[in-house]
Amino acid sequence: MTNNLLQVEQLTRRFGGVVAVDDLSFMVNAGEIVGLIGPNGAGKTTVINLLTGLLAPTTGQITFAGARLDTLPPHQIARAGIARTYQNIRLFRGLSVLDNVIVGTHMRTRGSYAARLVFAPTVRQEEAAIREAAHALLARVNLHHRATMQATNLPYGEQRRLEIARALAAQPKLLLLDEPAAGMNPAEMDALIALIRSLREEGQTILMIEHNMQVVMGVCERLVVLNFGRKIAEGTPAAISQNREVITAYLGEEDNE
Amino acid sequence: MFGESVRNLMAINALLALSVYLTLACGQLSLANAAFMGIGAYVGTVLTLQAGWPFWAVVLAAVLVPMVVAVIVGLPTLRLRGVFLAIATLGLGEVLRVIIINLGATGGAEGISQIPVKTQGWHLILALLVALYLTWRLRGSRMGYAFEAIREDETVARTLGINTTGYKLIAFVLSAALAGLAGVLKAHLLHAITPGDYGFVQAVDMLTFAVVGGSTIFFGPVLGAVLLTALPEVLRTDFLRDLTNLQAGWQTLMLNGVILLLVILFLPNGLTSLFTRQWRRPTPLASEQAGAEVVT
Repeated sequence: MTNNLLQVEQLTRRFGGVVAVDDLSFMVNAGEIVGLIGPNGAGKTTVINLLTGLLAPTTGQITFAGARLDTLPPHQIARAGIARTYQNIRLFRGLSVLDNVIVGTHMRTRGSYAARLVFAPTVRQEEAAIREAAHALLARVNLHHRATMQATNLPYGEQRRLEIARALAAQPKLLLLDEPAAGMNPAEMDALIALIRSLREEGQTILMIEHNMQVVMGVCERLVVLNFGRKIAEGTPAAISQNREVITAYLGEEDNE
Repeated sequence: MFGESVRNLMAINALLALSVYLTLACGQLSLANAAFMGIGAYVGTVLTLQAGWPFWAVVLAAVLVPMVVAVIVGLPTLRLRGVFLAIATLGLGEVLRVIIINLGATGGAEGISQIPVKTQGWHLILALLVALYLTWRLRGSRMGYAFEAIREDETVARTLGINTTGYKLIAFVLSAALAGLAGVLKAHLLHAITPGDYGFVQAVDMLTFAVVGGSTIFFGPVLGAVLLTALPEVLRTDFLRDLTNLQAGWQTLMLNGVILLLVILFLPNGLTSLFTRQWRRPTPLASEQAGAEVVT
């Protein structure tokens, strides 16, 4: 229990007859960047949904920072320190770029409505601090010039970065990224890799799903490979790229072996 | 412009529209507000006529009782989303109507008449100003952001640590308070109330005020209410009656329906979107960055 942040034990999720996640166990250490990879339909996003409480496990358990998570509702899991992004970008489309990030700070703030009704100075200070922090986060993902734009009007790659900024605004202990590089051009991808590396410098723990091997190999220290909901391999990126079973899962079996 | 009675009605309808706005701001399509208005009206009337309470205490009770009912009704129903919530809350209105008709103290289907007129013009203005202040301060508050997040995407809001059930309940309860306030003030203005006043037509009317005015900014519903209250007065001419061959009451309904349709088709964010669009245009970069340091 030295620096073990997330522990997933024998996690299983069935949808009717389909076993989306099958007896999955793995752990994420504090400060580590772990990649969850596997072919399409391997159950990666289901794992993220289980970790964030949007789905309940059929069996198995999830322990985070020493406490059971799998029985908590999503907002309490978020409060325990898990934030996420979504594979199919889910920004608050009607809100401005800045406001999206401000909503992300919800858990860190107290400012009650009653105090705001009487213009309490504490609330004003907090609001100013939040706006400043939100602007700083936007600068970090290189969106500071977009602050007042409506989120839905951003180009695709910028929407992904905004989602990351919104998740970071919660100051999570564990950041879950669901295909952060999807739809990004090479320049945007380089910026994303640089961002993830700088997060690691600060000790941010990240579990990410990613298909793009440049990103996976560039930032992940350890990979967990899923196929049909089962873990088929785990190890360093270098070891995984040589793993026979993984290659078979991605490329299919050779006929004349 | 307009007689006193029309101005009073405008204020009451504006209160009702703000009541609907509070639930819409949180993404909830609730049709229970007419029922809460009815609860406020009946609680207030009974306390005035049968218990002889002073008016301020009557108003207070007529605000608090709908809030309590909103908690009881809200806890199970707010788990429903979209049209399912609308249907459940519509059901509440019907249940309430049947209860009122069958209770002894409420005068049955004929309602209660000869209610003393206690509501003054300044009561209405004060109530409206308070309601406007409450909704104005909501925007930009932590709770206001939570409401907007829930309206935009409830699932994402939850994964950002927002207790969606709790905030939806708060919106529901606050909206019940405003509806109850409007109900008691109207009852003590118009002498008489009947169970039919708080049914489906009233529920849709107040929704129409909010939708026509625009429910994305707090003064939108007030604008909608004022406009739609004034319109039948402006158009109370023989021309429309001859044209449609309808009685006055039906004219209003038909006109509201047409306006609602036009607004939904051409101004989905309501009349206020005509001018808020300019305000939301991105401000120059320099001023926005400066805004980070000197936020007031």
